[in-house]
Amino acid sequence: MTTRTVRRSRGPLFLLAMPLAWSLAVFDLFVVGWMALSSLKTTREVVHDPWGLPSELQWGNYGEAWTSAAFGDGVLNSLLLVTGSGLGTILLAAPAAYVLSRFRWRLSGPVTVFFAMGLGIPGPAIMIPIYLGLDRMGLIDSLAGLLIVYIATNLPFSVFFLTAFFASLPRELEEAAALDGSSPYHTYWRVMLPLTRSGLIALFILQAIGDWGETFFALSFLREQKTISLTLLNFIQTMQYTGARWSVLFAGICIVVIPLLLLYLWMSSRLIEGIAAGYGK
Amino acid sequence: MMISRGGTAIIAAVCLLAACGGQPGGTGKEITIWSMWSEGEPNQKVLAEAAKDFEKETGVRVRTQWKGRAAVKTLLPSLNTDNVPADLVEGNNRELTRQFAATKAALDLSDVYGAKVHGEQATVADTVGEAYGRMATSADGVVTQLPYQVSTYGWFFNGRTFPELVTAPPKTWEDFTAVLRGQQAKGRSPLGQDGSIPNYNVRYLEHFARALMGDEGWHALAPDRTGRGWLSPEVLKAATMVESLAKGGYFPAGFNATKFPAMQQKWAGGESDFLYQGTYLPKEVAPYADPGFEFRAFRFPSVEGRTPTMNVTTTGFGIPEKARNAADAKRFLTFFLQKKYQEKVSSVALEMSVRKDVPAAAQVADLKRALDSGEINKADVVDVGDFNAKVLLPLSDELLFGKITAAGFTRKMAENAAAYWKSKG
Amino acid sequence: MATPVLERTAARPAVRVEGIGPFEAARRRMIGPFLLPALLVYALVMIVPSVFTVWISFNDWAGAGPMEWAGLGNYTEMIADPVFGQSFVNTMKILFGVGGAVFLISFVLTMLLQDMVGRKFVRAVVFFPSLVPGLVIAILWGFMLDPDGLANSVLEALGVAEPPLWLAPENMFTTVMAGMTWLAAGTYTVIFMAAADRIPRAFYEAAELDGASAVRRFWHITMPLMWDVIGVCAVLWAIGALKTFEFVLVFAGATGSLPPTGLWTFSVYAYAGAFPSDGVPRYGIASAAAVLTMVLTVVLTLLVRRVMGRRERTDY
Repeated sequence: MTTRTVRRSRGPLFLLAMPLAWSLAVFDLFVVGWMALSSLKTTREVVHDPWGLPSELQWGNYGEAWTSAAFGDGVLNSLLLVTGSGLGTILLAAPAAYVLSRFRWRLSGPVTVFFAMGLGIPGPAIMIPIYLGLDRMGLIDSLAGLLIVYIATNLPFSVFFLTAFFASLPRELEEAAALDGSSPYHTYWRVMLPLTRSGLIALFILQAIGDWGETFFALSFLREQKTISLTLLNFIQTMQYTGARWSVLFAGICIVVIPLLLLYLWMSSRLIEGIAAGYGK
Repeated sequence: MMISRGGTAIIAAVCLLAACGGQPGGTGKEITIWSMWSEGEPNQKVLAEAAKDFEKETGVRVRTQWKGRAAVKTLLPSLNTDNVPADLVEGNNRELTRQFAATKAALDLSDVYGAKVHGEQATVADTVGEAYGRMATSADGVVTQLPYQVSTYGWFFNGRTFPELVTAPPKTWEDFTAVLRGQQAKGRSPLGQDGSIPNYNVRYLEHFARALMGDEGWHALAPDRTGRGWLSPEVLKAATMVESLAKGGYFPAGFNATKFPAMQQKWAGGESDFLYQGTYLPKEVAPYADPGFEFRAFRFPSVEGRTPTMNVTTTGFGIPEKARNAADAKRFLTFFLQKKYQEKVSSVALEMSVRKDVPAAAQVADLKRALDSGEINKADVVDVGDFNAKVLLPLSDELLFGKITAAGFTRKMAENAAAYWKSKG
Repeated sequence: MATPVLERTAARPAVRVEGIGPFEAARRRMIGPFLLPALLVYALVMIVPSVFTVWISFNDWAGAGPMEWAGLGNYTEMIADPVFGQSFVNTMKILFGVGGAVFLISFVLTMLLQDMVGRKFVRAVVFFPSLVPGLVIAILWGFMLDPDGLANSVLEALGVAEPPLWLAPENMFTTVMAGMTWLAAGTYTVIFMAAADRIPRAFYEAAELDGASAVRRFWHITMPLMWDVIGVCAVLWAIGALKTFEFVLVFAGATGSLPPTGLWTFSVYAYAGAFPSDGVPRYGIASAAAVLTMVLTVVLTLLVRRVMGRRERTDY
């Protein structure tokens, strides 16, 4: 889309709002930069000169954070959870959203609202019943148990999100596919789903962010198993009680956040690509 | 529950993808501890060492999970099931005598109190002492905690800056305010305070009031359904003292516009002179203190001739009724109370042991002496639910920040307390 | 449990559908296999426990152990509780005040970024705050908004004699709202842009010829064509606002202590019931607050759908 060449009229509002966009961007960059920079200082520098540059880059903070927070225990589990729940959710939510948004049948409205209701269910309110259910199935302290919880709690948002994407696709596409003799399943897989690719990617990213940092359910349902956010939480608390070494703490935070940042940067270009593929010619 | 039957198919499918966690075996001689410490904390090291020695001496395997402060909270849901994962759960006395005890799933530890400390002559009850034992008892009279460690509050200061206060701490509130005014005359804001934490802000009012009206008098106020107790002259007097503290300019400008722990770190950095905080303070702020900072603390001075008793929080263990191996868990408790581990609580963790024969570190020695003499707040075990969070703390904040007068405070307390109790029906 | 319902629907086509050919019939047979797996997982893990939560709200319960029937006691207590009133007001401020600001900013950004130089870059960057844990943002703001922090140093350098105390109790809620606006604006901008990108270029090219301004183009082409997405976002925002919780908790408290009641929202109220810092947990009243959140969610969802639906018909 950046290749659009048509000249645009630029009103006064545009000139007024332009600095807003840029200052927001600069501020956001500043936040991430500050976090990264603080992870390379000494704690004294963080506290007494929070806005200055480090006198010497303390790469050792990362090693120290990695070992003392024991991130190693949680990384693999978190990767499994994030991928599993992202794919699992899409696998369940995309077909549901498709039939809810593109088919006119009596219950599509009520069922959509039924799913949306799940958005309003606060996690802490249903923790104990879920715990009891998982316990019956022997799924306490199991990744599979947590995965099910993540997928289920992601469903309301995902169904809702994808419903909008499906609903905004032009009706003619399906009709044209039908005229070509394509079966409804084929239409879904070959025509409709590829068009929502940008939506699916966005959804995956949003879920990955949520699940990567999720602590409440993980804390409630895991015991010996760890996720990376649990190790970070534990680390931050230990830091608070033993006198926060901010620099090491920031290094720990960076270790957790940087993979997310990379995922986002990588996937957001895929997102553009997906759009280009859909509308390119 | 319905989940179990209906969900089995899906669960089975998911289990194929990710290996399901097996049940931990519980047949051998083994106990599991859910500790409130995290790996790397000094207290964790003390407990880990004791666990190792216990294994060696008894042959009982000890598995310890370092849960951090939420240990009790995280254990609660499992008490609804038959798989209670811990034989020992560590927490403070409030968690164990209220949250844990309220589930009716806590084992009564009376027999542990009757037993002898491992390798010693004295019983556990004698070693812990009557006061802490009472704090370990729930409202229904079930002994749900075995405490080993005590924390309390003190006025912390730098012994280097005020060597005279190390040997002769101020005895009366007037003595103390004289010191504060002397510092003010030197252009300093003498009192540090993290004004963003309501629980810290109420401490002045609470100590003044307990000195003036006694512990029972103060603790009778919250449950008073009419709210009229708050209009008593003692409360007004205590509130007036807070008001003059607020208006005296002792706190640094903007002390309530920072984020915890900014103010206690600034205090350690020398921005102010005194800070009323828990005995865990030195551990939290040591990295920010100037080299050579000597942490010292004295207890709250007397008000009109009466010294407020010490507020105490104890740390210790509880045992769930459904614990797999309660017998060995109890043995561990008598084991951990031995002098050699309790000395480490003092020397390694820099905390105070419940044991009177274990001296405290120099920084809190004054406080430990007061505790050992038994002057502790015995009425503190009353549970007033969310009264503090909803009624007392918001108004006490306004009082300390100088937004309302003492008279305004007592009047509003009376009104809001009555409204609170009315909402409870 | 949902299968018979679906079969009935399939057998008795809705009147609205004009004529059922083999294609339409095949489509109807898809509904079951496409919908049921999601419905089943969702119902078992979220709805069944929620029914349990409704049941708890009529009892007094400490989270384990004996339950005591309380009837409507938890609800009447909650409604009579002034702190709940305060939480309600705060939640509404977030719902409408912050919501208005977030949508306005996101619209402006989407509009600007549609043809700005460096749009990819800015879009990537405005999303960053959503990647950073709330706890880190809380720490950063603590450093930045401290009376001696960066914000006030800058203001003082600019000649402001008495810069505001951002974190003072009287300003705290406003600061929290500003923080939420900043966090959410980036997320919604990214979502809106993803939607705007899907609009075929031909629509704009037609408009170019008429010489439409950026604002008019956005108003007349972009907005109507992404109306569904805006509707979803409105619902999401409303529900997210009702559940506002973590940001307040990490922003205004130390670990293990609750923020001052002046900052409470619905969800903080519910959380404070189930996880008090001191006393016995009260799952009954926490559940009552949760049930109210769920009811409001349904009402809001229906309301927004209705409003958006009407708009959709008139604009197309």
